Amino acid sequence: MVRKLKYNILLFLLAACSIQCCKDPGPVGPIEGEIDLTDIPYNPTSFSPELPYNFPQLVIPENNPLTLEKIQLGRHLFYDPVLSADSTMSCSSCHLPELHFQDNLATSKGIDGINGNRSSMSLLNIGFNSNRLFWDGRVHTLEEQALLPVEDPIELHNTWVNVIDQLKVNSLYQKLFREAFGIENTSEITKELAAKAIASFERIIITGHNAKYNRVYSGAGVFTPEESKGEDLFLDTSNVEADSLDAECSHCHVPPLFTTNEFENNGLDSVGDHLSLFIDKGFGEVISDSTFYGKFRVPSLYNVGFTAPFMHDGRMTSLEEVMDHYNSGGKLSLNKNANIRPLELSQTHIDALIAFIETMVDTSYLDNEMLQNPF
Amino acid sequence: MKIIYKICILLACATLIPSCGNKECDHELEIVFKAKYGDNDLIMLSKQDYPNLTIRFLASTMFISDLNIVTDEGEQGLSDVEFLDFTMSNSTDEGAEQGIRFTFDNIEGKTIEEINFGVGVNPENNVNLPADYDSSSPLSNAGHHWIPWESYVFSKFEGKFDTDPDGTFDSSFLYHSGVDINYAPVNISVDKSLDCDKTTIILSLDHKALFEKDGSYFDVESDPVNHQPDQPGVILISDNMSTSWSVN
Repeated sequence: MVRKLKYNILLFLLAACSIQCCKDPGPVGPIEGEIDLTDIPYNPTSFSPELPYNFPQLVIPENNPLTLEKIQLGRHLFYDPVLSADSTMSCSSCHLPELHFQDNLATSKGIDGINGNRSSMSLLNIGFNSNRLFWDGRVHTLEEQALLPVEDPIELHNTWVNVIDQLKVNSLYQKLFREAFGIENTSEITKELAAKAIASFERIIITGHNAKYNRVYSGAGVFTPEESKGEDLFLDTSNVEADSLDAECSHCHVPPLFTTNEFENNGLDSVGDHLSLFIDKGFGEVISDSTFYGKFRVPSLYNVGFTAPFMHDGRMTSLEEVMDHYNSGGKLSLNKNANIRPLELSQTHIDALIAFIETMVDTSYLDNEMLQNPF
Repeated sequence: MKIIYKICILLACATLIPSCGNKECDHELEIVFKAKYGDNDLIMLSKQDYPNLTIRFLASTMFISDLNIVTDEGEQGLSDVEFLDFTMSNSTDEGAEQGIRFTFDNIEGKTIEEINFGVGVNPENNVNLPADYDSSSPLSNAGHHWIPWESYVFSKFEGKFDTDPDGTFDSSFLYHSGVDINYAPVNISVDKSLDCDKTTIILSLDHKALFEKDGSYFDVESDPVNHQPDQPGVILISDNMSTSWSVN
């Protein structure tokens, strides 16, 4: 009898314990020093930007659907120097909207005045890239990308801990984070959410709606004879008088984005068979594979005429210099793209190609209020 | 009462035990795509003998469509479209040995008799644009679609060759296919029992065989650049595709 009683007591205790463990812990009150944000409404609004003619769908991760509120938060973070250690620089310091979201410098400087070894890439149409990002492909998503410059010693040279501490006590960001992500108190503000917001903003940096190229292809315009000649050379479409010449541009600069976002060696350096001689090993260094040394991401050509200097290290100062480089076939190296070989283009051909490339200009995004500096 | 209880237990066992015993295993099939050059793995940038030339491959990519198998229980679709990037997979010996692997669950039947697919994008999908596909689809990649052809680029084979031979690979070859006439159905006979655990089938594409023509080989040196669908090198590669795959 006593044994049975003990057994029943044990069972009762176990059951009580289990029920306690299974119980919903209920809302946790704000941690001391953190601020409750639940009075701020959370009504996220999904957003689908209008895309230029024939463009593919934006690459949007399932765990970060595009909303107006995230874009708004991301816009503030993008332009806010709070991201840098001395509050002097923001993302927009090297990705200026008026300079096509790059900075027209051969290599960019961070807050300590130290030059990086590569040029700032334009962010125009970055949201369509389903491949890797940065010149060397070191990350796969915009969410990963947005985390890196803050802590890079030659860029913003800050720490995310420091940034998040400042955002948590800022009433504007408390509101924006709540509206974007529905967080309940400031303790939930994290670098991951900040990166998601910046990535959302970057995805709507879209250009091409008003580019002559897209207007012509959508039936709303016509190329001049020179542009048409350039189109034939660029795309090898043979839609003008028979001309066997092909500038081979479009193997890497594929319309409508005018990039493949893949990694290529375009013959800038003469290393012959010795790929380890590349000073900047680019993509090959990232993936630890010497076959890909000296390869860098192919940039888009939208508004390219305004983005000198050119190449990953800004070594070329004009489009004419770029054309001369490709016309020569580039320098010898084992893994140079097979399409880069002597072209025998005349100055007339080069002028036509540049005329065609200028049909890829569209600055109408500058009028998009969602992209403008909110401060 | 006790008898009823025992009968219930017996009935429950009688129901459960046979269902466990009869449960067929879930066959898992792994298909490995490999790039070869003759009998050896194709390694990017490594030297390969070609008639009167030494060549090095720089790139080999292709779409495959309508991958399916025929088993003793009939035809089963495995995948609508995949992109094979041997440029990336075959940059090293280890990568080439590993190949490009796809795994499929719930394969029905006991024996695989055929594997079928097409190299390229099938005509039903090839009328579409990258914009028609979600970004998770290989067909969403605008870099693999060619507007002037109104077609996806089905395959690319690129490399360098040395003609002198002075050891300097200063000439390029490239053969790009696209448009429906270049779509190349591949049907491979297989006789492979499906194991209860994973079954692996290795499919190899002999890149040298792609260039074979009437017992000799395509003249890469005199016609090194073909990126129109009706050019001889592109037609030859498309025609040779069905016989250049083999199963291991």
